[in-house]
Amino acid sequence: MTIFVAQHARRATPEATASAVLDDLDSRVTDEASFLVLPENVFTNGGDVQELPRRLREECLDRLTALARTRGTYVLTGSWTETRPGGGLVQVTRLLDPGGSECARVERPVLPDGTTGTGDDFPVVETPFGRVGVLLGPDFWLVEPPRIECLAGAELLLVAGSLDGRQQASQRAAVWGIATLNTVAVVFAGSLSERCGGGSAVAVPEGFVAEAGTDEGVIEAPWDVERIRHLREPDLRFQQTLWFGLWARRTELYTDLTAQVS
Amino acid sequence: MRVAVVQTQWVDDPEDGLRNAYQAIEDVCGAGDIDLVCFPEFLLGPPWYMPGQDGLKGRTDTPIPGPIVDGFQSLARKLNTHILLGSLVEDMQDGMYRNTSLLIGRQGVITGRAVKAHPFGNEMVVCRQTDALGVLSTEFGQIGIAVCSDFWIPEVVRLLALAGARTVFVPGGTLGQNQPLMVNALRTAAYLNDVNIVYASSVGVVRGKRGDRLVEIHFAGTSLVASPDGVLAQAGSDEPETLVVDIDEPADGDGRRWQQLRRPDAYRALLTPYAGADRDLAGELRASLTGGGGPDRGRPAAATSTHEGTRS
Repeated sequence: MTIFVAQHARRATPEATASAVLDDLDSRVTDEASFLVLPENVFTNGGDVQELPRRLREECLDRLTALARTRGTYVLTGSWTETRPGGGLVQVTRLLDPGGSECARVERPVLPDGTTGTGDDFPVVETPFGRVGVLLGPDFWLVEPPRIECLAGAELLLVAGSLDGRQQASQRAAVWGIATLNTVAVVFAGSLSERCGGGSAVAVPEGFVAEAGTDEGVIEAPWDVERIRHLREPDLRFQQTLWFGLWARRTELYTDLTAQVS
Repeated sequence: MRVAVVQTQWVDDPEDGLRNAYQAIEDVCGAGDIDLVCFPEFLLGPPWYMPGQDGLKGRTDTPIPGPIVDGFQSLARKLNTHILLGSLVEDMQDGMYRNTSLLIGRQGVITGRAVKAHPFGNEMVVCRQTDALGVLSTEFGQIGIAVCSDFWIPEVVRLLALAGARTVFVPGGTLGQNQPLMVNALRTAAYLNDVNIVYASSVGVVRGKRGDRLVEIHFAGTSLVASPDGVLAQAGSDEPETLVVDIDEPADGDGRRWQQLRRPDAYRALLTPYAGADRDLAGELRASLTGGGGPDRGRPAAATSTHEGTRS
């Protein structure tokens, strides 16, 4: 079983970006794929965040659906901007199953500064390859959303993300750190642009399995859910200890995390 | 704040361990003004309830207050520094213990205390845990203390950061097999929460028998200081040493931005247990302490019947 992650530079137009990304996926993603993950805001030109034209959205979704079906893979579509009734812009990511059906969707508001907001739904999907959590944009960096999905049993986090902070070296390292602190595998997809520093990676608690750095392309990594299940099984003899972070919690101490803090 | 992080070595005689700790404070403070000296978890050496350490009962545990703490208080007063006694096994005098971190102020007064909240191993059976996590007010602002394995629960550093801590002290001990991921996890906690992390660890091997098995637990030092931007200083894994690091409150970074995007009303699921937890670990440990078998379950296939413990 293999995970594929797309990382591409943005072109002059959304159409050109979409063509570059989708053509590359068609040629590189093999039938070995169990998951394919695309980044936040995947088909833009790198300028202001704007609604992706309906015709282009439909074409992109059609091609990703075909890819899911022909390769027999789960596809996290990355996100693109759509308009909701009332005129609000949202970023939307969809998880397509190998039949091409949508099995999870996350929508997040586009904030006034063009960045993506956070939300209150954190889906976990049962698949033949393990339980997967779906995350979009900054929810990944918030500590709580990845944690909630792992507490619900997610063994693999699929992240339509972006490395767009001011501390990108720390962000890159945190992809692995979040995997360690939650005893989970993380598939993080990010784009390349003036603001977005790539950093697509597949990480497990012990380290990175694959990293794209700032190279354009599609990276792939093996996926073994049994390794995560092994690490989560308590071993009271000190030989492995990462299970502790999930098992030893004292929930009565955490109530302040659900309170508004000024 | 100028911090000295003392990486201790566990020695056979706790009296030697105590003398080494006193000497480390004298040495580092004698070389320059130090605002705070930070020690690891179990600064006197292994607690008696670690595998095969029964002979240390009454030697590496201590009442608080008591003569051991008195000595550190005198040193703090003499050297005009804060001392964070990473942790001591506090003898509660009623058959129970606590894993307690003490902050001693410049005047030699105990000004703060943090009791480990998340027990590891036999602590589930023989120790009491704290009922609250909170920050301490100091002349350096508010600080947090996450005693060793408390760090492995991401909720702890998050709570301390949300409560106002800009520096979180983690008196701990790096297990051999965890060394690289421990460093990165500490760095990650600093970044995500926009805090400094001051981590003190020890070196050495704990050896003893548990039933018919030889137990070896390797500690790999790697004390460090991390800011949200990365690791500022890091000790080695084999020797006692002291890091001296000047740390400032972090400038608002990405972590602060992430915190402003939080939606706490949506986080009720954090108040529920991990969905996969289906064993009574305290019960299994209780059985092992009373000779009733116990922690065989979950043993990796690679472990032999005569040897257990960490990888060096």
